[in-house]
Amino acid sequence: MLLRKEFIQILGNRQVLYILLFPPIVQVTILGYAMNPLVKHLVFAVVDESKSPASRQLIDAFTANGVFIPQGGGDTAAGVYAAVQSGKVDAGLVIPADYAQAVARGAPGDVQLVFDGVNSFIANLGAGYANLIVQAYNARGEPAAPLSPQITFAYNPGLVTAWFFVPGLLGAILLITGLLASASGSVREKDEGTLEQLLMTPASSLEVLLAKIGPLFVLFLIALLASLAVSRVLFGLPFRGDAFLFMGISSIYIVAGISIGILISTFASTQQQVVLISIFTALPLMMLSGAFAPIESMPPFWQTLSLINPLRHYITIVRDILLKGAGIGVIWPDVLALTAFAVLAIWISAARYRSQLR
Amino acid sequence: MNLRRVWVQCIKELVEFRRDRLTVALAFVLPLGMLLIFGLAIRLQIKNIPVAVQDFDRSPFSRDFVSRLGATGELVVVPEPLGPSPTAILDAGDVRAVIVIPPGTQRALAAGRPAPIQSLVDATDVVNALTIKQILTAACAFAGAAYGPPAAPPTVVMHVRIWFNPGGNEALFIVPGVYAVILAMYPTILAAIAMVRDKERGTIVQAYASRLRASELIAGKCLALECIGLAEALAIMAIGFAVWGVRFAGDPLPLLIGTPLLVCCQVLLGLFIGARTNTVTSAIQAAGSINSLLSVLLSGFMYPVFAMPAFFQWLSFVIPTRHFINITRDAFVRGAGWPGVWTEVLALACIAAVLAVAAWLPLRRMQMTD
Repeated sequence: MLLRKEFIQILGNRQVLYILLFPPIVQVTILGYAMNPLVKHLVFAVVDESKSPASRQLIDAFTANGVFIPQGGGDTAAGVYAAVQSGKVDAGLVIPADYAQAVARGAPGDVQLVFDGVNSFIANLGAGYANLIVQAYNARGEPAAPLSPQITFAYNPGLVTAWFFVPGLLGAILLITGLLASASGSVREKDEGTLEQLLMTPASSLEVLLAKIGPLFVLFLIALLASLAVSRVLFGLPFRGDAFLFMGISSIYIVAGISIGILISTFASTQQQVVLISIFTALPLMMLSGAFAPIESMPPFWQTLSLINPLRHYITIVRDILLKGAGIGVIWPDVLALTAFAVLAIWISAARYRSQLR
Repeated sequence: MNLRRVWVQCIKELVEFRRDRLTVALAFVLPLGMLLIFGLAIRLQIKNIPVAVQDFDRSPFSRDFVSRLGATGELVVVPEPLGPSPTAILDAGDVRAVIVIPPGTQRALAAGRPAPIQSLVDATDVVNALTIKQILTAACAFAGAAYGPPAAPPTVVMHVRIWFNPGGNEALFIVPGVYAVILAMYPTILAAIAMVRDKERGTIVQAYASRLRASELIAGKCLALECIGLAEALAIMAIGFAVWGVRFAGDPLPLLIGTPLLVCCQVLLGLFIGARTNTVTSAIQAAGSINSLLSVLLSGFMYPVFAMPAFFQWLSFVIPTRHFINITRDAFVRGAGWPGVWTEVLALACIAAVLAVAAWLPLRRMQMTD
């Protein structure tokens, strides 16, 4: 009965339906393409005061693989510095006038690379690339160094960044939309005064809550499957693990997200408050989950804190199942944490649900 | 446009905002909390990535090589028993790479024979994988020169200098970006709610019935929310200065003009969303999830815009945060002033103008929609 009421309420509003189903799919598409932490197309200005075959060879080495794109530069080192200073280019390479003579003498030729360090992350990655380029340039013509790394990339041999981001995005989007939709949906009952009627029915709080979770749960499961299908087509995202295991765990996760939303709604009394709290909850959950940057790099305190983040566990599980084909034997600690979280969230919100009428 | 009516509308909006004590508290406490969490916890720089080493060589060379791997702080070396296969170790998920030093590597090196170091790298996280590759390559070059035949002197010596933030202080990069993200989020949501709430409660009918024009309604609401947004901006920038010492690096004028413009853009976007939706729930979904995700991810807050495919680079031009982030980073880190950012300020002004028209269109008749 209650379940039917909730279904009718959600399906009756086209706009809500659109807004719940569309964003996950569109966002996965856009962000799967757009999120690219790899340093490519660094625009750099070159000044070649040496103007010699040797210096042109070095510039070619820099621009050969598309990481550094030469742009402008001018004739003086000062011009390059000014371009970096104003943020027009990301880096500047200065080859001094005596470069060719030094190389001809057999002495090392000094060149200078200036990086715009406003984005320290990019500057460091870029400097690393530049060092590799110079290292390779110095080694050309020499017999291969005896000590060499033989690197095999496991799970994602093509180094497709979307494979890393899509699981994170799926989790984050499900959490944010789930949280907002359930929180604002159930606080509206309070706003409109229908909460009293709901609580007067013989149904227990748990039954009321489960009925609330039902329709959203179905919608989000559909959204999840659709986004997965889209990322499979667009990015070739593999699905190496057990589909049933995946669906089971995703269900637990979706329930957890929706119940956090309902829990939030028991604390708030207006739509405005509920949204502010939801966004405030969702964003740190998203940023401290390992969706975008590895957990290991965070300060230790935050690493420990992230253990209570359901998104962190879900993302680990999704990556393990989709990319590594891992079974329950590897992921059980995360599954356990996620389940505990979902049960706890439902339990607390059921306990609070009735007491919110005062 | 009648300025008095605009003013009255603005006062009405502010009174309504102030009466809801909890919302006032949330509108200021939440951004500050967010700033603290983001500023203290987000690290893009790779650090402490666990890698396992199976050392079959057990020689001075291999010990030197292993300590070299951990030297930069990016990797943490976990000694691994020699029994299990690298694939099994990686599958267990506790380390991001397994590096195998085969027996006899030191002897092979001393004799000048090729000595490959094998490694299996978890490429789920591509940035991680590439960083591990860089460190391995560098360690091989270093240890190879120390234990193998002497290498020829280099032709090029490159001196890398990183400007503006030579210490690589990540807070300096993250915090000015967080300013933009927070200002993209909260004013938009408050504005969307301010607009759609009147509709949902039906009180908008009174505004329709009065002589208030659509432009006056929008201007009034916009003015009120602009004040709230600017107060938020002031609060978070003060905290940023107090906690991380983020201060002006150059001419503050572009920021002083850019901040009101950005808040204006975001408020108008919120009003537009509020004007197009009918329920608070859907307005919130649109303003909260779509806007905040796009402005976090397509603005260059974390990953540079120039690394995106061309289409998204174009798309990001219409996202106000993208322009504002360049202004804040310039004002607080680079300090180049007008020559570097005048285009960004101009872009913000254009976006604000377009959004003002967009918000006005659905309301211009001041009539109920059927």
